[in-house]
Amino acid sequence: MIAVLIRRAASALAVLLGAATLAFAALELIPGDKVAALLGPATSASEQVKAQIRAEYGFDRPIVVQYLHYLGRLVRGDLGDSYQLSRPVAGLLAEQLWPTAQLALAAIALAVALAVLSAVVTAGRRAGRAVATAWELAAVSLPSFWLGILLLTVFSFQLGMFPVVGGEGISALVLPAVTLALPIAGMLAQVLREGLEAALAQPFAVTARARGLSHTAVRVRHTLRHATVPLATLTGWLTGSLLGGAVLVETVFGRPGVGALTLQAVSNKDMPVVIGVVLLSAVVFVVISAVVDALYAVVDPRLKAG
Amino acid sequence: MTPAADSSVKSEVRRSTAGHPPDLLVVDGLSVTFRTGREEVRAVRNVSFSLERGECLAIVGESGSGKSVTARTLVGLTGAKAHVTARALTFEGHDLTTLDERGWRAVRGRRIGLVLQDALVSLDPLRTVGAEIAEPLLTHGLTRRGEAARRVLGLLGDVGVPDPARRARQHPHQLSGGLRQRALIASAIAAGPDLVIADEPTTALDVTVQAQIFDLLGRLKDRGAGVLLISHDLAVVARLADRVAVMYGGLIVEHGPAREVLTSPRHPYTQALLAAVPSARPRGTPLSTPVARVTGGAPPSSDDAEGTSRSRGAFAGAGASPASAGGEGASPDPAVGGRVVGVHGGCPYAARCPLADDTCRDHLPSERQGVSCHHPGLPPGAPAQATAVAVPRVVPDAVVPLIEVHGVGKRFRSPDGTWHTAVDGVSLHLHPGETLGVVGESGSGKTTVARMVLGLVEPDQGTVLFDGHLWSGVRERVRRTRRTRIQAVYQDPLSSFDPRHTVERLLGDAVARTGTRGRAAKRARAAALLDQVGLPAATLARRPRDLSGGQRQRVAIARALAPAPDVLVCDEPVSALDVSIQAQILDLLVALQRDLGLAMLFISHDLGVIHHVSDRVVVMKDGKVVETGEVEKLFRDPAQPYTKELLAAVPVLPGVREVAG
Repeated sequence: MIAVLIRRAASALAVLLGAATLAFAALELIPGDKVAALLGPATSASEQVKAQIRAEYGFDRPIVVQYLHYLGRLVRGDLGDSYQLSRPVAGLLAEQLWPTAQLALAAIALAVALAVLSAVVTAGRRAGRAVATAWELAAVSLPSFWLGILLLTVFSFQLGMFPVVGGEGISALVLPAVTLALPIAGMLAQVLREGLEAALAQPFAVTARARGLSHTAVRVRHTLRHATVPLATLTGWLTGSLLGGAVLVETVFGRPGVGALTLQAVSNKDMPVVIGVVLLSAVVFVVISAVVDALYAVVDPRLKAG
Repeated sequence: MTPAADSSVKSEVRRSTAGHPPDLLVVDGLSVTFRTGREEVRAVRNVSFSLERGECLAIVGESGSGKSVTARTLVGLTGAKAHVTARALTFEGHDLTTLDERGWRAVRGRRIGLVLQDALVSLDPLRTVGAEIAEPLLTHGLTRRGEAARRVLGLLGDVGVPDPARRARQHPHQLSGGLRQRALIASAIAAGPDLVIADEPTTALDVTVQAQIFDLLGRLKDRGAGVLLISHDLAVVARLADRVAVMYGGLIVEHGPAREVLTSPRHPYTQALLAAVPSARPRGTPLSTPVARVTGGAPPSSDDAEGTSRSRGAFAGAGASPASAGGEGASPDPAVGGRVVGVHGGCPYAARCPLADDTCRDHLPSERQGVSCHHPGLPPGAPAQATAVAVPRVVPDAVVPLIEVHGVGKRFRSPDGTWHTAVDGVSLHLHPGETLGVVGESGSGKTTVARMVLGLVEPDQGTVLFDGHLWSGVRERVRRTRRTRIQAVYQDPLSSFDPRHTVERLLGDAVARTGTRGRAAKRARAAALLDQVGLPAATLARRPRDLSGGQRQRVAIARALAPAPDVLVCDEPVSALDVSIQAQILDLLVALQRDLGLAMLFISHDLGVIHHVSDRVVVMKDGKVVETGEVEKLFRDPAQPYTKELLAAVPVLPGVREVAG
């Protein structure tokens, strides 16, 4: 058990180191002068000033030294300062992460609830299946910005039930969360139904029915758990990508968050922020895949040994 | 528990039994039809039987005979596509045909228990054994949640599971096959049902474990429960059954007291089934019926009659012992089970029957004295084809062995990090032209030895020599040139074929590796190989999935023969086949070996099969060789206690022990 944990921790560190290294390499390989990006497009500075900045930031030192310095700072949790905002990137990310996490977790919770409802009720039943598959397909195919605008138009502008923009409070969370959740729910429901139907075709499902269990009891007590493994995989992956920033939805609803921050940083070539976002995503994925793996072992005791 | 509405039916049944308590189970004129699209499959046709308390009725038939559908009908689990009709279907005098879903739920588990085969997939693999056994108790409100644990321990003890407290907390994959099956039976009898339906309850279990499970079912019977036993294996049911009903093509073709049916069968199909049991026949005699042999062993209706779907569940792989006998018998989808041959009015067995005439093909025979046949055989006499005399193949000691295995050992690492020894100091020799049988239960290491001989597993200790040259511990480059001389046939050909390829491509690939070039030449060679294994050249265009299990195994053998090998390693080649198909494949292997002079290493858990094909036998247990010797001598006069135990556990038909032993 301890050996397994050590192996896991080592591979997580390797992933993070890889992400950090790639981010550093990308920063070095991007064409253009870093100092120019630092100063912004509007300013022009003399060569002397530029050289001074280079020395101050250590850009004139050998690349290996810069790399080691960069890693050293990362270990201390120092992601550098934003070129544009002249503030520590770590602080910026910490500020923006909470609204994003709220949105992502609300959306995923809603999506899972919808998917479980849709799949458990309709799995293996011909009529219900057709209806459910139709809505799921529609939900998956909807472009999220269009769905967001549609929801805004109806519920905010016409009915005035929810605020149009902003990130404060529960009511501001509802529409963006629904916008994100619907396509995800469609996807999850299809995966879940497939898992349920595969499990229902297994002999143990017949055994359970032969004990006098109802259709629904067999689904809830037996097959749902079997369908959880693929569901957990997909949900973990989706949660990870949402925490990395739901750019479109955050933009449509004018919410603060990692997505909005990323958009801003990319358009301004604010590389320390971009690198910070990349590293944040890597951390999020490592943590989530650890959680999902732990969940596998809880759900399916046969996987514990591996 | 029964709706008041069926009291009229109840009284009717009571009247017909003239004052006696009603039979436990009465089935009269039961028919089950599956509708899929426009196709209609009559899986069960006009089947009648009854069962009393303390009695065991065995329904015997091949896959697709309708036996499992009949069993499922009795618990109302035939599925939405099934249409069930019956003149009478009563349980303890209550009409089952009028039950709605709620009524069925009160019967299932509480009054009628169902035991399926292979507890690894028939118990929910994600729940503890204890939770599974407690489920019927809780579902029917027979016990409170706090009390359930205690009841579970009692039940596990009843079915002979040692250390019940620990076992109840474990999951099915942590139990051995035998303990798992006991746990499955415990869950079926938890609520104290009066009728237990056991559908292939011992398939995939080792013979010694099989015997224990039958003892357990026998105790249920002695306690007054009715037992309905469903099986493909006549020899197995002989242990327990009071009466036997033989099904074919959805019909009961013969029905009577077990001893009568098993010792003096009158229906040609029953006779063929009994003849196909390897342990019941002298060595050297063919097992399959004449008509199967005349047509090359593959009449379309015989091989096709077995359902094409034989796949086990997707979860079956996790932890299943690779050496276990595999998923024979009832296909999980009842709709697959009913490919009825005689869709026209005739006898469904006519296409396979050596006695069939125009009457058989046009008119369905009606039942007379328990047999539905126009030409019932006279009881019993010596079967017609038992005249061939065993030809002992004497291998002179001077001949250099083709394969020499010297003291090989192999350890594997378990997932939990501990090492276990799969093979420990095994030595054996295989001479040209002889068949060496390796027999052992699951986990005995027989498959690992086979893989060493195939050069797929390197031994940790010891050496393997092939044709006098070192075969183990050499580089793959050295081995590759000689690999074609050793070929293998496995249990499940479907998983060793690419399902998208046609038979022509499958065989063509093997043929091309021997140097045959050109499409026409490859095709001709492939057709010749098919002919050798008794398949028509038209098979070339088909894909593995469209073939029956027997046909697939023939294709696998043809592919193994393509490079004209010296050695054929057969690892459980017939374990997944119905007994009559198994007989055809065994006959084919014996004939091929005789004609081609192959040396054969034949791995099986089935002593009857081993006895039938082998010249010499190696008995393995826990990775070691227990006993080795000439086959007749070893079976007649086993020296080791383990061999004796194995032989004693083999299901034997009444009256044939002297032939087998």
